Amino acid sequence: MLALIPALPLLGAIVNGSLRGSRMVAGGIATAVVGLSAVLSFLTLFTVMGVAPGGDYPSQTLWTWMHTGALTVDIGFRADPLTAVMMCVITGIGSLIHLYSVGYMDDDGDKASVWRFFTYLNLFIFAMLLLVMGDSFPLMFVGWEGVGLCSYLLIGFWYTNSDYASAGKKAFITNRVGDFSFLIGLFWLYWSLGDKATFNFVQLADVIEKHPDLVGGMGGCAVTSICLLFFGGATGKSAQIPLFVWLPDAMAGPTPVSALIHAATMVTSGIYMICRLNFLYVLAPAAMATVATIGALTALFAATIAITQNDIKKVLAYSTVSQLGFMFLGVGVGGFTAGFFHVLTHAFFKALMFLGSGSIIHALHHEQDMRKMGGLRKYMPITFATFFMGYLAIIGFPGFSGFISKDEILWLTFSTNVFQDLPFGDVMPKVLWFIAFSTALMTAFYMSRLMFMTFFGEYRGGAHDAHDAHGAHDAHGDAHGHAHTPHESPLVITLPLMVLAVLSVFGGALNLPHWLPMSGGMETFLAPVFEPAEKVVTFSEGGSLEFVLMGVTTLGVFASVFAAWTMYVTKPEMPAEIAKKIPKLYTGSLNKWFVDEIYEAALLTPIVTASRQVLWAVVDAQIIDGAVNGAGKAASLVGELHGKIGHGKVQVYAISIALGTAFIVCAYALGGV
Amino acid sequence: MLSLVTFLPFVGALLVAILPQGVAKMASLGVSLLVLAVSLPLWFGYDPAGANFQFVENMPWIDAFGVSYHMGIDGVSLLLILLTTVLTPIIVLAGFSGVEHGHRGYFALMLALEGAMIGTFCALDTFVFYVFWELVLIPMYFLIGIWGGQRRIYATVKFFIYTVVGSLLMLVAFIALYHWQYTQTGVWSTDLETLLKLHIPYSAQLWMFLCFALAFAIKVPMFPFHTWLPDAHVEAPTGGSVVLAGVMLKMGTYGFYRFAMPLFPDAVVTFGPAMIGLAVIGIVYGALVAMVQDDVKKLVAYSSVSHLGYCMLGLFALNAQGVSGSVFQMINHGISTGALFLLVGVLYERRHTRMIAEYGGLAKVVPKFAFVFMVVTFSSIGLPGLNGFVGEFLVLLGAFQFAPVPTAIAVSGVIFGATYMLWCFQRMVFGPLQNAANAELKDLVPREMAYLAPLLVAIVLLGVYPQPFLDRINPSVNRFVARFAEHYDGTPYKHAGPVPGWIAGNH
Repeated sequence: MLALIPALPLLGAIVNGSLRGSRMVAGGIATAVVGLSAVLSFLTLFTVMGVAPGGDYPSQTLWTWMHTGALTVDIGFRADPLTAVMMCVITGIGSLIHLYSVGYMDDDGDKASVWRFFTYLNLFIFAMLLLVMGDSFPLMFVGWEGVGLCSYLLIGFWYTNSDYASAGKKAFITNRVGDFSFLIGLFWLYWSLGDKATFNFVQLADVIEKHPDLVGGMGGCAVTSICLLFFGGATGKSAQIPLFVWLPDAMAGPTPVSALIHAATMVTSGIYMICRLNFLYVLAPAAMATVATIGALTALFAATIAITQNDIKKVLAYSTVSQLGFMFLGVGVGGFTAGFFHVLTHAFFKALMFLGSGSIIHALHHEQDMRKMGGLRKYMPITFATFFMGYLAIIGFPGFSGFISKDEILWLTFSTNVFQDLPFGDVMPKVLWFIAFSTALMTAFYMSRLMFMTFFGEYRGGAHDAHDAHGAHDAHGDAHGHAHTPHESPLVITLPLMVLAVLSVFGGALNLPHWLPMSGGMETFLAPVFEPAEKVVTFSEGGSLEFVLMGVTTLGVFASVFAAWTMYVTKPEMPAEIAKKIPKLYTGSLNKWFVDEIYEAALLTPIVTASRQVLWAVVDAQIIDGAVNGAGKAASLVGELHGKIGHGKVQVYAISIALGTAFIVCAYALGGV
Repeated sequence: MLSLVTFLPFVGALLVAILPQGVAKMASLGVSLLVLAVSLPLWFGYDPAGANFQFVENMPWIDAFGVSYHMGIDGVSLLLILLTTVLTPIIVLAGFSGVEHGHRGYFALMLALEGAMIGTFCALDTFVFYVFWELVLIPMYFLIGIWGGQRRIYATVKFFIYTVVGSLLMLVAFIALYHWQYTQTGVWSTDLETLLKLHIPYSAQLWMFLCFALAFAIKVPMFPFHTWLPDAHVEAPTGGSVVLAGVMLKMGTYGFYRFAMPLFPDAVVTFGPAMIGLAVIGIVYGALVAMVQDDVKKLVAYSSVSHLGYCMLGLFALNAQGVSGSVFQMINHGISTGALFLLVGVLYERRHTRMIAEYGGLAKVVPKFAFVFMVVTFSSIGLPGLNGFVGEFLVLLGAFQFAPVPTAIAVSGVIFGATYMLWCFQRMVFGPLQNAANAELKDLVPREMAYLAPLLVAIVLLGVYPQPFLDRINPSVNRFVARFAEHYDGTPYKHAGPVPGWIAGNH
């Protein structure tokens, strides 16, 4: 039965790919198979919940994929608590987004190819399920790359636009840079285990637990390096420094794709992987410190960009990068459950806000510039109300899901003891906490900015503006751009919004903090997975300090909201004035700190230029071919001296035979025959 | 059995040559399909558990010189033969269009080429091997020289110089080996299995290995002996390119596997690091140069240099994963690169240009073509779930255990590989339709789909369920690996701890 869960979406993709049906047919099939998968996933979740401690989790092996020498890799699935939760997120949110897409894709210019969209979307669900259900590294890697493929195809869905197609390619290649690191880590891990080598996660955890010395070579450097190499893979897939650059560009894809792939599921694979490998990471505190630091810095860095962006999807994209940073911070300080729980709540509220922005973009005929929005709460009350719930969740309004998950990460960062043996291990948690705290305030500010610019004030979209922007932002050929007042989206779009809004508000209940009754639901459920980590990682008791920090953060959040309200509602001239006062900072942030340009100048251009000008033009054409042509010429010259044999080729043959004979003589001399 | 598979194509070639021009196409298609049918019993009759040569035919041929007609296959030759017999009908079918003159000659040579290649993979006598090896060159020489593009003469000469130099060195080494056989045993023999029993002194092994290695390295081609390949590919007709990339290059890697390495195990240890170094350079270099090509055929040619680098890296890893992966990669490369050349041929027949910049936006005009191109592109990139990944993964996994640092460099091929293929794909298939000449392009016709479909099936099948193929490779590979272990007490080839074997210099 387990294999049926990924098989259904695969079947959906195959059927849709062959049928090439209309939007309703293709969308209906796609939604149905994912919905069915979701039902089975929840059944699996309940089964897993019923497994007694030490009992066997559901698993299924289909066939042997690769077997050679001591290596055996099966096509096999296993659903432990971590996997089961991920399966429900993927198929649950996945089916909502499929449903939404049926409504959203209605005005696609190229109507004939909507089936393509649903084929890719189904294929994505299949690959994502492989990623979390695969019982071994290589199978996880199939999913890992498979989601990359679907992301590539969906970002470039409107492929006639070269920029969109480039964005897809950039995403795939940037991820490949991460995979480079990931694969080396994988090979190193396998190599270090010697004759106990295995790729199966269960066996791997077992081997490492019994023989931690195997990976402890070079004074612990081996396990640290392996963990860092895996993390390198995660920075690609989960858009962290230095490989985050692809995610903002990925917004070229249709908005449901941004919600599903680039917010709720695929981009959290890196966190999933580290959670899966918690038994390895806890052996390498230095690697965990790196994960936490990169996470915190990415969170802050992305927030400094999000603060000035005007494209609603770009703000959400940088916000996603930032929130992913929070998750890495959480797992990096040893709060595996906390980091993973943020994956879950973020999936609710960020998918909600992406879909909400999609509802707006749909209503405004592909307008994405917030400067041309405003006052939308009057025209789109349901979108507004649901978006507002997501907004309260992400800024950390007390009681909302985002508050509960983010506050847990902040507190665990402050109180972790993971780094105590490292240099600066005592101040590091405090510094990291401060970075995260600052980021939380900035998050509240830029999300409020987005909220106020979009839904408050007066509607700023006019006839001509809408038309121009239409041409600029929408390349898929939908040519009408009349001015009309925005209207609320149909139920097929708003229904998923409502479901996700409820989850965004109450999702925190799944893992209430320890000072409330019924606390730690998720913590208890995931305990068997994080058992190796929990044996090692400790946190300081906070007492009242925990509540003081929580209060400070909450007050800071309110202050940020108030600041945004002042700047974008009561005194709308203020942002421009501030920007004038700090022009360098403003342009820097607006231009994403020129990271793309730096990469281009420092890496891409030199590599391409060197390949063309040096490797190809000099090494190949001059040195190697020069030698060959030279030999050819010399041969024909000699041939002409001897004359009368005929054309050059024969002479070459002759001279070669002569050379060969000479060689025989030398060879015999050398061989001493 | 093996003789039948080997000589049937030659008979077919004669038949096609004497039949009227009009039936040349159908006759050669019929012959190639018949050969395929005859080769299938090899797959079903082959005992996967057996490590020894199977379907052996051994009879004296030139008694005075100890030459015997000795044929036999192991799992590796089995797969390479099947690759040849599967690709040939595809090539013939592709040649129904695009070959503008001299159909009889073209198809007859193609069939002769098939027979010679199969013979190369079956031969267990060095003399017989050499004969087939040289026999392969002749049809290829004419295929490029007569049916090639504008610079075909230059390409042919270059191809010829390179391969003749290699062949002669190989001949030298075979003669030396023959001599050693006589001095050590007092019996003349050219039989591989007899020669394998020799105990050749280290110093002699070194130069004989070098002769072989150069001959095979040119064929593979390994960096820096690769420059004949882009020219040969660009000038060759589509079928020639497919057979060149699909099968002929594997004669080089197969030569290493069957002769150069097992015959001179001591020399392998000495030159192993250098070979691994060249393989890694080839992987990265080929990919980087492929990236900057403007001619799509050259791009694919350089990608072959990169992919064959993986094969060599795996072979010299001298462990089960590396060598099995290498063999698997040979098959993969034949399928994926063969398919790429066929696709380029499809475009070339319609537009008569191979320049990437001439295309763009093809997805809208020729969606079926774009779909096939996409699958093949991702197969070539090594997307997990398709065939390319299995070979690449096993090679790198095996090689890492032997030489971690060079292998880590080789892994960067996964980045560059994706870069050149996706960049090319994007420039040709995505974006707006810029060149009006492409607006009326015809999508794949049923004949083209018929010859591309089997390759697509193979790409998926080998990616998802490679085990039946690995099952047939494994015992032979284990035997191959064991040969080195028994010569060297296994030291450099077993798990060497945190310090890589050859970097620590402990051989």
